[in-house]
Amino acid sequence: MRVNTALSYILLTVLAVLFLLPVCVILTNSLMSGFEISNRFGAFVTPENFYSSVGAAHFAQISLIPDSVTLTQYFDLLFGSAEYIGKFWNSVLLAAPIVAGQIVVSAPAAYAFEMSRFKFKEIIYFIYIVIMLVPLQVSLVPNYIMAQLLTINGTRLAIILPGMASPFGVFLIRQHMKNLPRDYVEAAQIDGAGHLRVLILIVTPLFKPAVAALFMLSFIENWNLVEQPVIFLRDIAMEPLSVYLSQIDGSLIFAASCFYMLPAVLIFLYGQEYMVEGIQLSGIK
Amino acid sequence: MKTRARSEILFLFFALPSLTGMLLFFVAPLGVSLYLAVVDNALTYRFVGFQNFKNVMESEVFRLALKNTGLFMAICVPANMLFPLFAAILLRKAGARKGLFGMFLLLPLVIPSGSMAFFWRSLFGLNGAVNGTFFPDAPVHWLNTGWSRVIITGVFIWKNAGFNIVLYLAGLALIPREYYECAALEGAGRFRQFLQITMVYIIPTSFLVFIMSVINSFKAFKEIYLIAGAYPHHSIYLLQHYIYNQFTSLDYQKLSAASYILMAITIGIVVFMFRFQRRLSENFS
Repeated sequence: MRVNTALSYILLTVLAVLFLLPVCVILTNSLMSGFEISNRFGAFVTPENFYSSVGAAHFAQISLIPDSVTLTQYFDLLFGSAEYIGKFWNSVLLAAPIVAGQIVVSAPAAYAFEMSRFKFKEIIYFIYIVIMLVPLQVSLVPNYIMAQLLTINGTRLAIILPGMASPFGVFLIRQHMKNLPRDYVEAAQIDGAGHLRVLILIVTPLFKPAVAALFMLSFIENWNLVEQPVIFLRDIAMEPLSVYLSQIDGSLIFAASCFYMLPAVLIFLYGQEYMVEGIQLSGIK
Repeated sequence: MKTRARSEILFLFFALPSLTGMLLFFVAPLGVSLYLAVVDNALTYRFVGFQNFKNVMESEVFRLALKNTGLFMAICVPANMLFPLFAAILLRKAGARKGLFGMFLLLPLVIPSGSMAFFWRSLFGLNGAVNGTFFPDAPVHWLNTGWSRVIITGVFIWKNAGFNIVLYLAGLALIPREYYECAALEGAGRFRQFLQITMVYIIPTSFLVFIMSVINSFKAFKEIYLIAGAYPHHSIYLLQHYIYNQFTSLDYQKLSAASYILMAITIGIVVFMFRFQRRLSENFS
């Protein structure tokens, strides 16, 4: 028994190191000077070099510990050029409206789906589920067609509007509602509370964990947008940092990577339990 | 009766933003897309039946993409089930440290893929650290060989295992402790307990994890696109790449036909699994 526990600790430690190491490397390398980065990753300075076979003698030298610790990467990132900040802002301009809009659109809809006695609601809900299940590339086709028809193609709205309407939010919150005791709502209704009051006074507090879970999952998803920007936004000026980061390999890359993961990591550290709950709810049974 | 009707109207009002969004960006344009899939081109709109589907199915590139997607799923889905199950079992033994280890294993889930792209390239590129450390004399272009499949699977699991770990942890928590105590009393060893209790009672969760893994496996496009671009090595050229590249050439007929094929495959798998699960649980109860 004891040996078993010790062994599982050792294995877990190994796994944890494997999972954390890549993130740690990025974190510590963001504290290297630009000079040290080009020394270590010189072979990667341009993407062309990456595919050439000439530079094969110079290999990237990944190290967890910087020769000297400095904040110059961050300094250059924040004050050196407006480019990274601009791309970061582009990411915010996509993720923030989608996440906020998705919550505002989904929560009342989920409530309606759960409470309504409309005969065909489950059929409509089934369509939601089907669209939620299809791969992203498939649902991008209708999104694209509609963006063309509405002449919003090439603008952020082409990504934001379908993102807000995504069925996942309705699904997640309704899954949560199914676990709630109905008695609360019925008791309040018998007491003469109208639907709006029931919604505001009783359902909203019960909704909180579900909304927090949706916020977490939706933010992580939309902070990591790749497909939509490359398909809908042809204008480089609107490109989010998620896409831009994969195209650059200058001396700022690690600081930029850290800078970009920071909001996601902070939100994760703050609301990990909500994320876990969200994942558990997102399983279809 | 009157209040009933009135609340139904209120529910409709609640659901309206979501319903409108779904109709506008998903359902209606999916209809348009089906129409585009059965006409000859965007000028004459002549009905050609399944001709476009046939053309797509007969194209070499599509077949390659289909084969690769199948192979990728065949590697990725089981790996992304076995490893999380293993990790979840270990985590349950960790007792007080469970939260900390769990957090480490979940962290990659929130790291934006773009933040990691440079790191993975500097690890597995021709000039990468893996070659530098192990094969300095005969460097292998890992991402440009069949190995890319293994690397992408590894990167994918690193990023997404946390999702399934959470699902498995919830599933394992549902198995009553008494079963193990009972089995231990009757002299069953640890291994037999694992085989005859854990592995049996985790089956319902595993169905769920399987379905979620199939759906999530399509997210691998992000990683492949960010690490290897729109035209990666032919062994990791997936259906998502095919659809993405149809976007660039804007061939609506191929785009629509291909996306319907991909949709049919996904939904086919999910429906099959649900049927299979139902039959299984009927036989056992």
